[in-house]
Amino acid sequence: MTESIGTGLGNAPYVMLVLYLGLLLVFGILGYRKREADDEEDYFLAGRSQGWVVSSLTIMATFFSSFALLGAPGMVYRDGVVFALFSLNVPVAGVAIYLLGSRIRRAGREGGFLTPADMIAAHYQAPVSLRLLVALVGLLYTVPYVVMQIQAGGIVSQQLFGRDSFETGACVLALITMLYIMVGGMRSVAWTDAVQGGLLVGGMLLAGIAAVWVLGGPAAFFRAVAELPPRSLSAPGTSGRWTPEVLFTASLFASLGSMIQPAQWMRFYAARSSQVLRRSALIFAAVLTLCFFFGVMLVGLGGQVLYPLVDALGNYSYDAAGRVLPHALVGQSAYEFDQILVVVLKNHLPKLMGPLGAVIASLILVAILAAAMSTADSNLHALSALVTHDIYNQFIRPQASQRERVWIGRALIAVVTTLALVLVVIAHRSDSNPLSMIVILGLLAIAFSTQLLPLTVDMLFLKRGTRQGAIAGLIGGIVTIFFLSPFFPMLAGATFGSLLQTMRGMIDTGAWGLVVNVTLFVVVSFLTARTPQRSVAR
Amino acid sequence: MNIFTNTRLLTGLFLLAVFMGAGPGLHLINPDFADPQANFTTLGLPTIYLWGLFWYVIQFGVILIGYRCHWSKQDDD
Repeated sequence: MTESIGTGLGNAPYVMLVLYLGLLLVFGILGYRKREADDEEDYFLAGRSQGWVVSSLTIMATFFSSFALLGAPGMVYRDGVVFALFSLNVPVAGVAIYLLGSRIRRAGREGGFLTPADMIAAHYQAPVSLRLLVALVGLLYTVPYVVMQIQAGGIVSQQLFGRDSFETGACVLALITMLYIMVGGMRSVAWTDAVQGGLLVGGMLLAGIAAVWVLGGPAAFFRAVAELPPRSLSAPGTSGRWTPEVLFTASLFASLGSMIQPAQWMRFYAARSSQVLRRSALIFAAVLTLCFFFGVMLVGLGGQVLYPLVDALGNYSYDAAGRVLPHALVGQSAYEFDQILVVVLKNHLPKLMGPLGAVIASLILVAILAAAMSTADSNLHALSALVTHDIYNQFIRPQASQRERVWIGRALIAVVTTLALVLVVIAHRSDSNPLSMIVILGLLAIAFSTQLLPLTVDMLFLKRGTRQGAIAGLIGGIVTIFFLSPFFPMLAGATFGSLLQTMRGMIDTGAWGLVVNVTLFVVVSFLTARTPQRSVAR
Repeated sequence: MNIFTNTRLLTGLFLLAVFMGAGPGLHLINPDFADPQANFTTLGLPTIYLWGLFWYVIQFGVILIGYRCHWSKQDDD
């Protein structure tokens, strides 16, 4: 048997990959053949006919990305057990599926809405300004999220086939994802998500079991964990980032922001009935939280035992910028904590369990790809709907036929995927890697989508805001996040450096955006005359 | 007061669990890493991990009661 380059997994990863990609292709084609019409509603919302099995799995698969399978264990590996509490954002997201999702679904059906901007623009009667702003928020969420999924393809490939294969892995993941969305639209995306959702739930739990097994079972595992350095067993964690307040705001708004991002919003529209969303909410809260708590989070903790961050004297290693470094066998830079799951699997399972270990490790590695691809496909698909429906149809060619719109959507998917891939490759080749760790990038993307929360709550429940208030709040929120993001120092150097650092240390970036957003929304709505609105939600 | 029928109580309990679990409530049990006498485990598990599990049980319990007893079925097609 020929060994894969750089791994001890034999040919198992190749076999698993071929099986997995073949299965995706089959489901992608089935989705295409099941299409009922060559129009926007069928391509973007699967004819609003999704049942609860597909809906719950596609909502899960869209929610759980490389953030869950690489980012979360990576963050626990860096910061310790405090980040395991981030799992508690999942039940909140489950409640949001019911509370927000079923109302969005009903309004979408009654108003014939296709994108979030349709509903918001109709409610506030702002067909141009708000539609463009909501599309911008969608773009600001989707692009970093797609970028981080493609990056995950590179990381897995690097671990499986050697350090030089990062770019090949990223390209393959991007290409295959792009192809099946272009062919089958929402139905293909949802069906492949269902396969991937099942795979990633299994993969997450299996990863946790594997980590515990490697350390000799639950009792031995937790005995070893109890010996970790004090910083790994308390808040704010090794890096000092996760104070209870930052953890609270990040996990609260991560769940809500993730549930009102464009791809999830469109899944609510696509659900056949509110019963579908009720069941999805329950399954989501039960299954996914357990996958986090008893799955991937344990990998991060086990990783700290197997690959300690401290030397024999209890000292951490730091880079020139003062950031904690992972164990040398895990990575060379402060951005490589995300590799811990793959390192644990490939270095320990085959030794412990022989060929079966190689198969299990390969299955989990394929689950990482599934997590990345299922999120990338949903986001790319939603992005193409946003740009085609909210910009091209409204402002460029309103007279375009349904067929033309679908083809424009497909072309956009190709363009955005290529753009995201180029960003990943450039960042990978740069010494400082501005895309940094997956969790950091993910939380930034979520911070942008969280800015839709005040509008959503007002539209569905309160119905007191005005168009001017909504616009002011949204702009204020987006600008605030930009100032607090890693991109501002790249442009402005150390301007306001200490102030921004202090703000970031107090609460999550998205929460700061929300504070500004809500304040402006309330004040401006109070000051401006209420325009007679067409309420979209009962 | 019946916990199964009182929606305000259930909502309050859920919000409390959100606040306590992965939020400022953590200050109540978070061991000080600089204190050499600090105890970082309870029942053999890291204390803050156990704390998170406890509040998850509360959160999920509320969701289950909500699903069974309160979540509206009136807008089903």
